[in-house]
Amino acid sequence: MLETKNLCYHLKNRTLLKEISLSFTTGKLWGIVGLNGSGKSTLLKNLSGIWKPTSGELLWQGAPLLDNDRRNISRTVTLVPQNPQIHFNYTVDQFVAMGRYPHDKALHAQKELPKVLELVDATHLRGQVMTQLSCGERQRVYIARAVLTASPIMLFDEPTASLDIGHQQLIWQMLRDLADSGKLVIVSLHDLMAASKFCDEIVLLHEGNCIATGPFNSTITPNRLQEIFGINEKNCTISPTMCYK
Amino acid sequence: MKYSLWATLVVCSIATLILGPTSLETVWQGVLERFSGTSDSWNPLLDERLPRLLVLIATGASLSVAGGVMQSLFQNPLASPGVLGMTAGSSLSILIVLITGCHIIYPFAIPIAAIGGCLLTIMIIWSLSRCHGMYHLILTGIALSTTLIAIHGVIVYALRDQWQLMQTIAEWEAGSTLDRTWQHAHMQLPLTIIGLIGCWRYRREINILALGDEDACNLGVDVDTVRWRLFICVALLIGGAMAAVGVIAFFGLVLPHVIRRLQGPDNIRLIPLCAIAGATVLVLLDNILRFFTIHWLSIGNLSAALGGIFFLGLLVQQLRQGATYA
Repeated sequence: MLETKNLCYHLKNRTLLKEISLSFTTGKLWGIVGLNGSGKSTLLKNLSGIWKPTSGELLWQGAPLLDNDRRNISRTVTLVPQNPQIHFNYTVDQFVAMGRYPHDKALHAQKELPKVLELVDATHLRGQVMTQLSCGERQRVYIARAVLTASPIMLFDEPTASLDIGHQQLIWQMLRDLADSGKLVIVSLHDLMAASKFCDEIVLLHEGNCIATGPFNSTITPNRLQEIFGINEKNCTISPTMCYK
Repeated sequence: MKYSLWATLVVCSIATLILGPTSLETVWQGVLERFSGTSDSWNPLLDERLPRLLVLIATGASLSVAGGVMQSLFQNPLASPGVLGMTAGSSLSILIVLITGCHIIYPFAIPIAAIGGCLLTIMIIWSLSRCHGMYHLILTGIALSTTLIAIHGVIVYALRDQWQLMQTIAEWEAGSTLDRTWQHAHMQLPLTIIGLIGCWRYRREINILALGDEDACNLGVDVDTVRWRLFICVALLIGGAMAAVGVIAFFGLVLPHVIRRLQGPDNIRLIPLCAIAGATVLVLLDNILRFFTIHWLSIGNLSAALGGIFFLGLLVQQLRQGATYA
């Protein structure tokens, strides 16, 4: 179980996360939803230890996660960032192989490479350079790298934002499989329909506060849709809550 | 590419050792006498050409590898120790040592000053811009470099009446390999070896750091520790080269850039190739100057001129092809 206790994060006099206390159980697919700027990406970066919490605790299996050295932390938790930028012409193979760095110094992971690329439908991208891929292709390669790291906690920051509908389905199914295999999978997303369909538990963030947590039905209520997202369900052509009714 | 570079380096090194006004027979006779212990007289091969060759190889490899590492660390193929002000910082420190005359009593004052200047500059740049991203960092480097060059210029102008000092400074600023002795080689080689081993030790981390700090941290690299260790390695490489030969502009920018375009950005290949290519090109340029007996041009002048023209051509070609960074 991954726990946060009163986790706060400040950046230049702004409080981005306020006293977040959550318990993420393994073997589940968690969705973090909220408005733009509500703190979803900040929470993921804090959970991964890339940004150090200003105060509060982050516990993995009861022990402070961030007390480990960086390589150990990365063996435990990996993050797929949002809109990743890359400046050098690494090939897809070289790039994905870097996912094994936390485990050993040899970056070569030639055995596992074809498998993880196949999982995200990126086998045909082998040998191509990262800077020449489209956003969606790059996103899938980043996901493949995270899968290669094989850490028990996997964080995804809007993993399907740049993907076409077919690949969205593929990635969601893969995330589902990862969760079913016992991993803790936490995804930040805007698509409430996908959240209702694929996520076991939802965390609703608003202005750095955790408003609610639990199954979709109990978290994303019509009142909260109105208050937080400004959506009146009656006037909405496609209701975000329709799909589970 | 690797083998052709090695072959060129071997040929050029042999040329450096045998080219000269003294006949080969006399030189060889002197070498045999030295090793048999019958004579202890000065020998052009052992006392001039060999240390010169070692200094050239060490300088070329140092500047090229330092440039390649900095480009990866700053995620910018146009970053180099020169652009980031490390060369200017090192240069100003050496100028102060030359003016105060410390190097006459303590010859190692020059490399120490060069390394110190390099490190101090990068510490200032880093502390001023670390929270504002790589773009800001490079701009800070350019601003600080310009300031340091201006201070350098003011000092040189103020001392323009001291002819002997001016000659020493002019020779050093031009990047000269004339009269390089074992003292220069002894001064530089340990720094180069430690710097190169350090960079090679962190080759995989450099690859990952080129993806950006957050992603490198995500993949398990202790970003701050590794970066500072690499800064120290780069300072050793640049400091050693600056102390032994002087200012050689564009070398740390152009060569790694070209090799990365040809062979890709993987530092496992890039670092050895940069080292061999840097050594080969510098030895080749030195041979050209010596073969054509061009006394009015230093190796620093030649490499800066050729590097600048070559780089300009490369940029024009890139613009025509609509390409982005390599």
